[in-house]
Amino acid sequence: MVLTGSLVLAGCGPKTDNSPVSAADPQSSGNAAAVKTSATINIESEPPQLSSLRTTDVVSMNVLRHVQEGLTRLDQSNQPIPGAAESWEVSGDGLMYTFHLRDMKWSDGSSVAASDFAFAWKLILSPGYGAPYAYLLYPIAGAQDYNAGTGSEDAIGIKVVDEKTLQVTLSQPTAYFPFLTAAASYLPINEANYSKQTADGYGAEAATLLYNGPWKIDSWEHNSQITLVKNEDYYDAASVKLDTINMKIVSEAGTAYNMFASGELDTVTLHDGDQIQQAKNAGYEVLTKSDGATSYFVYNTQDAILKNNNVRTALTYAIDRTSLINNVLKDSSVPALSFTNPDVSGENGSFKEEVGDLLKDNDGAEAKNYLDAGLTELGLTALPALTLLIDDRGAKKTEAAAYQEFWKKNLGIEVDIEVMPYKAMRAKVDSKDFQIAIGGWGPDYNDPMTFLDMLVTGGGNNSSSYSNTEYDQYITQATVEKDPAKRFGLLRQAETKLMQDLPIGPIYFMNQSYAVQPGLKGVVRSAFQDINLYWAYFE
Amino acid sequence: MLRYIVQRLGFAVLTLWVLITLTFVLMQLLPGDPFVGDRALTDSVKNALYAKYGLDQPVYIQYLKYLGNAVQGDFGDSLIYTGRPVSTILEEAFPFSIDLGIRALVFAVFAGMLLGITAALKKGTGWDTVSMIIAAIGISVPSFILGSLLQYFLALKLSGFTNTQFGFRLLPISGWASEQHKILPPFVLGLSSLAIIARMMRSSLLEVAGQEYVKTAKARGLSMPLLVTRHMLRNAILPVLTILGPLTASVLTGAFVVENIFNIPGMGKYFVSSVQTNDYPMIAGTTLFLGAFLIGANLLVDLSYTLVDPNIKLYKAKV
Amino acid sequence: MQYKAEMFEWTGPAKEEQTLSGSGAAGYWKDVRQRLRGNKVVTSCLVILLLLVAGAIFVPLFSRYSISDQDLSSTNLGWMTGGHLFGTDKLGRDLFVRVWYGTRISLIIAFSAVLIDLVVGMVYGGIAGYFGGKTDEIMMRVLEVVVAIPYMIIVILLMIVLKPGVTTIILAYGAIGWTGMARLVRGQMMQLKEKEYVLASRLLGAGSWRIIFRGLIPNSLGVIIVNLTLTIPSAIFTEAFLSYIGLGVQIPLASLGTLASEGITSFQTYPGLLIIPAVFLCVTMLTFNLLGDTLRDVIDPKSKE
Repeated sequence: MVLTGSLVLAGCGPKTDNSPVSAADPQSSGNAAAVKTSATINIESEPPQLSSLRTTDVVSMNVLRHVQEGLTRLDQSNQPIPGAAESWEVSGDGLMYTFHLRDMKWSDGSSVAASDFAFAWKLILSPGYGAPYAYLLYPIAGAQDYNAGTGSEDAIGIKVVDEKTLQVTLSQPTAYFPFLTAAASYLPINEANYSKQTADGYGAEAATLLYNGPWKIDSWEHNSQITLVKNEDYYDAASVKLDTINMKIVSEAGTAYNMFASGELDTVTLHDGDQIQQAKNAGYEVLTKSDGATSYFVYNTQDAILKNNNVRTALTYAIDRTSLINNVLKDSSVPALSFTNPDVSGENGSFKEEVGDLLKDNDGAEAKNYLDAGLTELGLTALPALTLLIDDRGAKKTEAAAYQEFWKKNLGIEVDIEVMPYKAMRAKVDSKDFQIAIGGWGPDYNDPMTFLDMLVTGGGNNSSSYSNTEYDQYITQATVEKDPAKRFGLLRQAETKLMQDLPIGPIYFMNQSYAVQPGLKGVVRSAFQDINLYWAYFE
Repeated sequence: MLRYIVQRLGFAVLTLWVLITLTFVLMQLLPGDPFVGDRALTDSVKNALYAKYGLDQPVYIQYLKYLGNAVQGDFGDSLIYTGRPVSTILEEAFPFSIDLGIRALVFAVFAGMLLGITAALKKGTGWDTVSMIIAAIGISVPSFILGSLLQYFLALKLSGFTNTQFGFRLLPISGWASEQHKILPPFVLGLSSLAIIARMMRSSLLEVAGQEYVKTAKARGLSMPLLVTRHMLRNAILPVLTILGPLTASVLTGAFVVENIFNIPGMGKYFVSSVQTNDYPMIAGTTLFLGAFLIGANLLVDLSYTLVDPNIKLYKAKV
Repeated sequence: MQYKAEMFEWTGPAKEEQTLSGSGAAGYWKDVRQRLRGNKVVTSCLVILLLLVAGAIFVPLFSRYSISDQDLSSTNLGWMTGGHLFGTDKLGRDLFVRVWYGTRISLIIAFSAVLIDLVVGMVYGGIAGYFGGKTDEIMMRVLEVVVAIPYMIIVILLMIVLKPGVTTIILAYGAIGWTGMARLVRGQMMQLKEKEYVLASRLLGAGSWRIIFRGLIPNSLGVIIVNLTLTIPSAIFTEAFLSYIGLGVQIPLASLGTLASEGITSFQTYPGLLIIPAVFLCVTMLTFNLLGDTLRDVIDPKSKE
């Protein structure tokens, strides 16, 4: 039974148009000639490089997801399932993971071995390499010390038992570790191939990479298009339906939509309410995916005025999120009345559901009370004009103009808006030369910690300079707590504390809309897999 | 003449050196960091990256190193597109830019001169008005508006119509693959240059028409087409030539908007993005490229002055 | 096409205008004024410009709405609805007042650019072209450096030093905008200074400055004016380009460039948001262009009717 099934699938997978028609099933073979097996999508920028050691951007990850595979991969509902590792065991204390690799080949014919993982992980952690996402591997014992230059390579908890067995020791029990091993930073690298390339050359061109994923990169025309072809040696090639994926590099949102509308693209992200409306007018079904990210105000708690908790509360409460989403964004974003995104799992379901709403939306009267209390504490009669710092990307300017007006209307505050190129904005935020900025944070992995540990004292991404011993304690305790119930209790307390102190003011949980051509099915888009065509096929 | 050219080339090297020095200084003043992304970097990672790319050294050392390498033709690797040399990136993008640019310029020069000549010869008539209005429209609509509108109406709507009615797409939305792809972008890019050339042509032709020798020639009964092509154009073309140098440079490098809308992998984007992303070697590389190009174009223009009008003596010091 | 002498009007120069005596120049400008008065194109262009300027000054002053007043319950209204002549934008702001305000900003930018072009570009090019030789050589090389310095660096540095806003945009234009004019004037100078009348004035003892500013520049006026009318669109375009990459005037202010680039994202659903500012933009530019064209014909001492 199983055998038959896979044979049929194998038949229609690779050879499409010319495949000999099987007499047994006239219905399906009749269609087979017409069925498309090549999908064209757009990616929004040229990948800086496709080296899993350095990649930090969504676009590169979208490409890598299709061509390389880590120990695990994510399924349609974002749960880790076996990838290069056929199976794994976890020790009783949750500290030791033993991965058993399946027989898998790199695109040059060599096998994917446990040492390929050890090589990649040690390289990404090596202090001189400067991999931006090295911190994602910190759950591994000794990783952080080694990366900071204070530990030795031998002390890292990565052990190659034999060619097909990899043993990983963690510093803390980390329930989401199998989830992490699906991330780009955990991808394997074939050492022989890597050492053939120039110093920074790995990942700069398609030819410098080896592939072990469902597709291989056939060509990479810089700034124009990346073409993927099906990897026939992939262990699950039978269930991969698309023979080719063309990834067109289109940075202009309007152009991408026009390409979609003319049939040049099979799916497109709808960037704003206007595009959503266009797609609806054109009769397309508009689909929604959670972005996994939260948009929020970053308040500089070192600022003479914004150090005051009541002022921050007033600013946060004075925003009419519902109206913003319905009338300005016009997309499917959700008002954020807490920080951690609903897509992140908690103890039983969504962590956000477990903490509940911790803020008030559009409460002008209460906001005004907070403002008055804050002014008294600061010894001021009126608030001097504040400055909201934003970057020049996307529709931020329209949003910022809306916030400016909410604050003016509900609190009588004048707020100037300063628009800067992204890097210049980041420089100002990092040097604490700002009052309010707009931030966005998406999850690295499926646990509230990816949101909450951002705001610990001295944290690299703690742009608010928030520092609270109580909060720090919750986070530290949650890091070492082995009992899930207690751990999530601590995280909930942390979230609640955060929403009392409001070093950041949540605005909305970002959602993205997209449209797909009627014939294309099985496209997976989610917070953790921006786009995955593993299960995609044409009807 | 030859001495003059050699002298100019000497100046060119000097100019490029001043340019790169200035750019190096200004670059250091840019806020931001090439390695900053959405996530903050740990100090160890940041230090490692700075050390790796030599950014931890004093600016003058970086500068001297860059000069030393640049003289040998090594312009460094991009800090964003790591592992890819700046020269390779520009080399790959250049053919697209030159293709787009030449098409745009050829269109602009021919159509522009035609409009300009028509307007000048038919001064005060309807021809004049129509020509000048066409030219004026060319410089009245920003390319991002024109590009988006043409893409929507011609490439999406009209081509959609021809597709359903006659089974072929008139124009594709974007890209640079076939001849069909290469119609709209050069048109949009060239339109403002067309307008500039048309107006320059008209005004300088009118100026020439007022001069003694033209009147004399006319009085002697020289045929009009001969007069225009042999004598007037030659003199009238000078101001047009003046702007052709900078125009070529701006068409080649300033195609950012058109490249963006029509998705052409040219080099225009790097002039904007390298600065936005603090990609220092890329900034220096694009600046040197643009500088060398401008200097070359200006030299050619100055030389052509002397060819067109022997009265102009560039290479003799005069007070 | 057959060209006949009758098809061409006589546009010969009047001898008296080629001398540089005071009375001749005065007579020339008097002449220009007379010719301007009767010209229909000039008159209508001036009327349109006057209307634009008046609207730009007064509409934002007297409108019921301010440019920042939002009404999130009535966004993207069409023409003549809800008490808004031109409808409202994405944030429910009155488009009528915003477009006029945008015209104001764009005109300020345009006029400032013309001033910079005239002062810096003309003087620079005049000096380089007239003196020629080493002076010219050095000045032109400096100019090449200025043109080649990455524009975006200048813009971003200006934004850091000053705040983003109209002044910054004007300075960003001014930083390199004058170079085109300078090169053009230099080209004209080089050509004209070889003419007999310049030699004559020099022999009569006229100083260099006098020759440049009383003799050579008026004789290049035609080309200069045409170039000035090109300055206006390029200044407004500079602003529009900066808006396109997100670095336009300060929120909630608006220029025609920012309005158009905001409108471009939604013109398929709300065409008015693009069409209205685009029409204002085009009319402004067309007017300047036609005015420049006609002025050239009238002012140029060599093209007397």
